[in-house]
Amino acid sequence: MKQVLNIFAKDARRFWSEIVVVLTLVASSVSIYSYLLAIVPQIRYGNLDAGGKLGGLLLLLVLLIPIGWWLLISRAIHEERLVGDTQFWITRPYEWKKLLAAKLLFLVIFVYLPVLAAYCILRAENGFAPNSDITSIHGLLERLLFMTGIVLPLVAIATVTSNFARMTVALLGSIPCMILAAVLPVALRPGSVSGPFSNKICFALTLLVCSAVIVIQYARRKTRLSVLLLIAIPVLICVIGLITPERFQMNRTDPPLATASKPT
Amino acid sequence: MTQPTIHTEGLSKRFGRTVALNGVDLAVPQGAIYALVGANGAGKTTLIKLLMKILRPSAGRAQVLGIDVHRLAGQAFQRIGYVSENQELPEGMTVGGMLDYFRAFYPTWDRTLEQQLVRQFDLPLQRKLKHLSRGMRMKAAFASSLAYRPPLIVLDEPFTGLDPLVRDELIEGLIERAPETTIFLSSHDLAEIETFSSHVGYLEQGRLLFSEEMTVLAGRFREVTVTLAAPAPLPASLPPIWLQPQTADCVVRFVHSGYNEQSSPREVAERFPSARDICFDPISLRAIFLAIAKAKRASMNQQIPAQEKEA
Repeated sequence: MKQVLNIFAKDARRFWSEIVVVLTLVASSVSIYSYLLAIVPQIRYGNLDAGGKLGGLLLLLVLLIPIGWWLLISRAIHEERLVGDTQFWITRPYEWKKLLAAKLLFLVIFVYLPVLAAYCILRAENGFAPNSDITSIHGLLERLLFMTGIVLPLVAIATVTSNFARMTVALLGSIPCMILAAVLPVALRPGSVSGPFSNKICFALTLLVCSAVIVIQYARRKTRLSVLLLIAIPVLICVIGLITPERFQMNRTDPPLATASKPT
Repeated sequence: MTQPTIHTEGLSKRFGRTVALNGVDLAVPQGAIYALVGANGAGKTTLIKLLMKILRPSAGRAQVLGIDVHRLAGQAFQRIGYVSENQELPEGMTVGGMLDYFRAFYPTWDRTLEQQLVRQFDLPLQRKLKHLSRGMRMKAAFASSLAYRPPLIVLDEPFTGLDPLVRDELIEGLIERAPETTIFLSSHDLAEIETFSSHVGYLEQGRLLFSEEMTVLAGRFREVTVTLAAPAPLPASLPPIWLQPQTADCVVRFVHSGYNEQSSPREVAERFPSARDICFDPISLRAIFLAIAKAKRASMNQQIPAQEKEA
């Protein structure tokens, strides 16, 4: 635990300016949202246009938060980068599990916790006490899962790149790949059924592969294998899109006429 | 007999078709200052990276401090100090910050020694590592790798590109640690190595040509000067251990790589019956390696036309 805290404290000291930027973005978003809620209640339903210029600013801030995470994740992961063989830490008594734990702690404290705090404040502003009912917990979990869908791929890409510039190129390169993976099945099989079930599988698969990449990189630093796994994500999404699991589900719940029992 | 601090058996490393290291058998005894020398691309850095588990071997095995390098991780590095010319440092940290940070990783970290090293190397504690000169960065790396009194210090080309003053300071710092540790270093700087190494190994194109004690090596090599009564051509076939034979007028010179106090004078006298005088002079490490490297190159040059003729 001492090593985890030592690495965490070092990162927190080194990246205080980036941390301040991210915290400011989250705090500003919460303040503006709270203020707008008081004067324009419609924004509660996601209608930010009703908030005028402040609504626009809020939208901008909300979009900037993931970019702040991107920067923060890059700084934290690349501080002890996993690509290459000249890093100072690989011949020091670092234990990979503790290094990974320190980086996860950093993410929890400076990425998840501010959002969690913001969520609690907003729920309180809306008139619900945090964790007071199942809706609140469910909503919170949904948001955390959504956040993880952004954070985990960012961390995975950071582990296979050596700096922010390379991470940015990899990230920008992955976006068209993911779009292509989503569009290709529709283009190849017009009329194919795709829906929430496929999306959930793709989402779970992405998180699973990203988690595997992070562990492989910290435990073994096998960058080639990790890059191949990351490249496999859009391919698998494309395959799932072509298979369309919804079809099987529909066949089970509503069998086709040929196999359905004939009316007597 | 004590276990060697570093031990390798048939250690090999390939990068695609390129053989960087070819079946290296090495034993570095405890307490030695072992200098690994060789030309650029000989495989020195590859060998060190394999020993530090930075690279994985293609074949063979290696042990460091009795630990198989496959298992070298985490706490094992509390007993190894590694400094390389290519090694990165936490650039954004100050020298003092880096020492504070590393201190927590080593239970044997000696604050008094740390302060002594800071004074000895004249390190600016408040300055960021990225703002330091190459020499200063090297000194900071040394201080951070010596302060926990590791039983093994591994140095990859630590003196390359440093001015003589910094080299002297680093060597001084190393020699002070020598009684309590084993030092394994690679270097081009033969003159410097000669002054403090106890053992030497020579790598040539991934092969370890020899590995022995410095005193044995120095005793084995002699520059032989034969003064003849009259000018004469070189005898047709000289022993292969007589390297780089040259003749000018009445003088024949070569490097004897297997000198023996008893037998060598007689052997030389038999080959040159008209010799008026035969001198055997000790030579520097630099001269030894130049003789070996040139002899190797000459033999390769002879092989190539022979192969072309065969083809």
